[in-house]
Amino acid sequence: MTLKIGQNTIICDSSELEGDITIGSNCVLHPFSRIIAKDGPIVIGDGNLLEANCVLINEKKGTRDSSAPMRIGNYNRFEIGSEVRSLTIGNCNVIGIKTKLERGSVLKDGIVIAPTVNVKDGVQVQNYTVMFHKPELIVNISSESQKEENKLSTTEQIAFLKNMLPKYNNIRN
Amino acid sequence: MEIETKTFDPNQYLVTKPGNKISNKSILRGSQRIILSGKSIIKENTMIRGDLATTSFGKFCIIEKDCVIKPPYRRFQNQVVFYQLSIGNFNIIGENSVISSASIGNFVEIGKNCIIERGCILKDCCKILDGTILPAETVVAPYQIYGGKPGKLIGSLPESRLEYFQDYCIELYNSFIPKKK
Repeated sequence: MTLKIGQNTIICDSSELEGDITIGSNCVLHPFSRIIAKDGPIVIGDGNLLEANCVLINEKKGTRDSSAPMRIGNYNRFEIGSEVRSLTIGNCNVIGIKTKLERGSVLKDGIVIAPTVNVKDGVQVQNYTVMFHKPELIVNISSESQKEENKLSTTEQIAFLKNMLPKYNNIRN
Repeated sequence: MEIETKTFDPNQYLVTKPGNKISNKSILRGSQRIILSGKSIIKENTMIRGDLATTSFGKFCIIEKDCVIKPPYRRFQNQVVFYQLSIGNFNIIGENSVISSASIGNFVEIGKNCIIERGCILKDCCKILDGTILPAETVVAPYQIYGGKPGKLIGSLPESRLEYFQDYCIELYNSFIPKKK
C-alpha cells in the first residue's frame, strides 16, 4: 500500500485507507471514512473534506472493465454515507448524504447533489448543476457563483475541523 | 400495550448505573461531551459525534442501529462554528437515519432512513415519517407529522399523543432485556 499525503492534511486514526492513494494538501478525513483503491490508484486534490462513513472505491465493474486511476479535484465535500465509484470528479462539488455515484458517471465543477440521489452509469453532469428529488429527479442549472459558494463552505469547515478534530481523535501520522 | 421483549447479549452491551444500555459496537466520539440523562438505549453501529460539539440526551431516548448523530454548524462571516445539539426526553430515533438538527424536543418519533439536515428544530410531540428528508433549518411545530422529500406537513397528531408516547417509550425501554444463560 502506497500512501502520499500532502501538507496539513488530517487523517483520523479510524479511517480506512487501502491501496495506492495520493491525497493533496489541506484535506480532512473524518473518522470512519474509507478510501479503497482496489483495482487502480486514487488521486485526490487539495482541500477536500470526507465526512464520516463515506466511501471512495476504485473497483472494476464486471470482467470487461479495465482498471483506471480515479481522479478527484480540489475543494470537494463528500457528506455522510456517500458512496463514490466514478472515475473523474471536478472541483468545488458537494456530494450529499447517502448518494451513490456509479463507475461510469463523470462530474465537472461546481455541482450540488442533494441527499439520496443516485447518479447512474454514463451520466455526465455538467458544470453548476443541482440534482434533487421533488420527488421525481430534477436537474437544474444554477449560476457560476455556485462554485464559489461550495468552495467557501468547504474551506470554512476544514479550518474549524483542523483545530477541533485533533483534540478528541487520534490522528494518523 | 403489548410490546415483544427483545433480548440482547449482555457481553455486547454496557449497562450503566443510571440505566443506560449502550452497545459495545456503537461509536461515541468525544465521550466527555456526550451527556446521557439515564434510561436510554443506544444500539449497534450508531455514531455520536461529541468531538464537534456537546450533544445532550434526555431520559428514555431510544436510538436504533446505524444512525449518525452529528451536531449542526452555522456559518458566520468567514467562519464555521459547530454548536450544541440537545435532545429531550422520551424520543425514538429510527434505524439508519442521519440527524444534524439543532434541537429535538420531548416525545418525538423519527422514522427509519430519515435525513434531518443541519439546524432543524423539532418541537415536542411531533412525528417524522420513514424516509423523509428535512431541508436545512426547517421548524416542525408541536403535534405535526412531516413526511416526503423534501419534508412537508402531512397531518397532525391528537392531543393524547403525549401520554401514549410516554408510555410507549417506557415500555420499549423495559422490554429490552439481557439474555439469560
